[in-house]
Amino acid sequence: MAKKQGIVNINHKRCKVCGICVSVCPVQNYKIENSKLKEFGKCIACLQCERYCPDMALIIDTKQ
Amino acid sequence: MTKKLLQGNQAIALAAVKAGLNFYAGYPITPASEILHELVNQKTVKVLQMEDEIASINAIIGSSLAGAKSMTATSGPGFSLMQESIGHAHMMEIPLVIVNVQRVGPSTGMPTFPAQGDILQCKYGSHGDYFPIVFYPNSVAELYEYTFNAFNAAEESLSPVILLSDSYVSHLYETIEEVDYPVSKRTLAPLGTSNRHFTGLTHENSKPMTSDPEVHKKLIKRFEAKQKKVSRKYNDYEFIENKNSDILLIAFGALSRAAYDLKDDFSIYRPIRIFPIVEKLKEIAKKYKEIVVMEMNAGQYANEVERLLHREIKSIPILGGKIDLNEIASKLRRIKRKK
Amino acid sequence: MTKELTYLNFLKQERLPHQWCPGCGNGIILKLACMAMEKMNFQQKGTVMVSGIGCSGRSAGFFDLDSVHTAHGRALPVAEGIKLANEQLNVMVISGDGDLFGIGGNHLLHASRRNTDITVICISNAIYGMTGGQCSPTTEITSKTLTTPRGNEDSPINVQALVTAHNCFYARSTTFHFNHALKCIFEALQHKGFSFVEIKSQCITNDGRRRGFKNSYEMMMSYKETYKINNSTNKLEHNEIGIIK
Repeated sequence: MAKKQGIVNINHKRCKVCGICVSVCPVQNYKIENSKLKEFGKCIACLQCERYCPDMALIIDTKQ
Repeated sequence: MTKKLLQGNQAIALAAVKAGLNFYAGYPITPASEILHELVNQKTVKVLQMEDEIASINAIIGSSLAGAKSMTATSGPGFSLMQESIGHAHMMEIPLVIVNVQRVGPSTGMPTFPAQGDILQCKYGSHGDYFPIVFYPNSVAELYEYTFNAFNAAEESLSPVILLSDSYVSHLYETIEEVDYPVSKRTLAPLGTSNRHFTGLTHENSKPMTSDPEVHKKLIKRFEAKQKKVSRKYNDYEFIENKNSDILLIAFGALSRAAYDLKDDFSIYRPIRIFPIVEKLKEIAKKYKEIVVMEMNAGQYANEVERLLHREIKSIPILGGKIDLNEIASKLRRIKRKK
Repeated sequence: MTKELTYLNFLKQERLPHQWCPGCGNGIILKLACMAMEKMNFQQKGTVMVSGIGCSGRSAGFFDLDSVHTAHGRALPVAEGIKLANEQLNVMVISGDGDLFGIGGNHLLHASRRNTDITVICISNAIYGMTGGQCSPTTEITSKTLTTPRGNEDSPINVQALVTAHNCFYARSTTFHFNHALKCIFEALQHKGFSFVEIKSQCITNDGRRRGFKNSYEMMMSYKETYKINNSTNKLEHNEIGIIK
């Protein structure tokens, strides 16, 4: 089975940099740099961050 | 036309049903309970006895938004509890009718005795600026007629309209003609048809705007203009002129019925739409040397009249719920002598 | 192409970002409500959202539905009025613990007694967040807030007993237990009669910060440690979450 991969879409207009996604991500895909959320393309599309983001700022596209 | 012998409160209930009342929420209180008693037997009205007056007015705010013509009735203590939500309904522009059958206050006071102590509470009871339309009839037939007017004014102005009464007029039995007065249709679309947001916050186009003073100024100005425009349709007062008198006696509600007995000595002016004050009073008052306002409180309306006319007004407070013509006449004589 | 989160169509997305603090649980519950409504196949027409006052009170304005932002504590009587005047409408209430149990406690008691068919989602963050972090009816005993600097002396209100006393639907969940909370709201919406969902939510700015939490995620993790799911009971212990029908 091919590994699931995700493409992270961050809506920076909505993001308030609360850091929930940083903590919730199992593969440490997120980091906050200079008060801005950054991601490193390691997403496995578990969708945890999409659910827990209180600002509806994250949308994860899944590709096989 | 059928004639009926009705109590004041029954007349309000009957007229409300004829004016299209769909929903009533209330809490028992002397001397307004008869309205609730009368309405529970009506098939076309959904009646809800709530846990308190705050819940009552909020339930009718909800039902009115959902498309039902709604009303509640109470007396002074309940009316005090409703104040916050009355301001809220003004802010959200919801058509409501609130009947206040006044009794002696403050506090529990004398529950079965009439008073007119809620006059200023009608206008200034809630915080912030709002411009309510208030009617105060003085007979059973008028209570019947002005219940229609209250419903119509509420629909036209999209605001809570207050129908004042007192335990004297509301408990009076009189014969009335059962007239079908014209009824205004609902213009506000009911809930569940769109994506509007009704809020008590300062708002513009369904959107809360809490940091722009200009929006608030505009909103309040619009409310004032709207209420003025609608109230112009109801410039209702009664004027009994006495050409030999240079004293104008102002009275309303229960007390004005006693004032009729003095029409041989004084000119009598009775406002029916007590707020916004009918501007015609300015013109009428010009001819008189002395203006006397008698009311069953410590001089609430006298202050308002003074503010309108910019001249000294004599006030005769009748306290304690007892209307004694001798007491009134002797007080008036004293004013006459001093003049 | 980016996928579309269809449940977000229940929100006025042009009004986002919302005005709540970073990390606030209200946004998660907003999302949960949208997902449950989508699952229920609710339409914009025929659904009404009512809210009270407070941080949570602002949530009604974000829904792309007819919504009412009522006076403080009065969301329940307004919702009842709406439902009884038009029984076809789906009426939902989102409000906070201070609003529903504090100033509006009397209405909760009687709304559950009358058993009107409305669904109440309570964002229970155990604090008056909007006014700066005062003690609320659900603040835990010994918990430190702005108005209880030496620790709260009173026990929190027992909402479960209050609502279930009238045999109404009661569910408790937390923002951490996302799927469970969704299930709670979904079942509450399906329930005919008064249904009450209490969702424990985090307020980092005015509560967690004073109680030594570093960020809102830590607060959510504390829910994971404290609360255990128990769906087969008719009485939840204080550290259990579940549904009582």
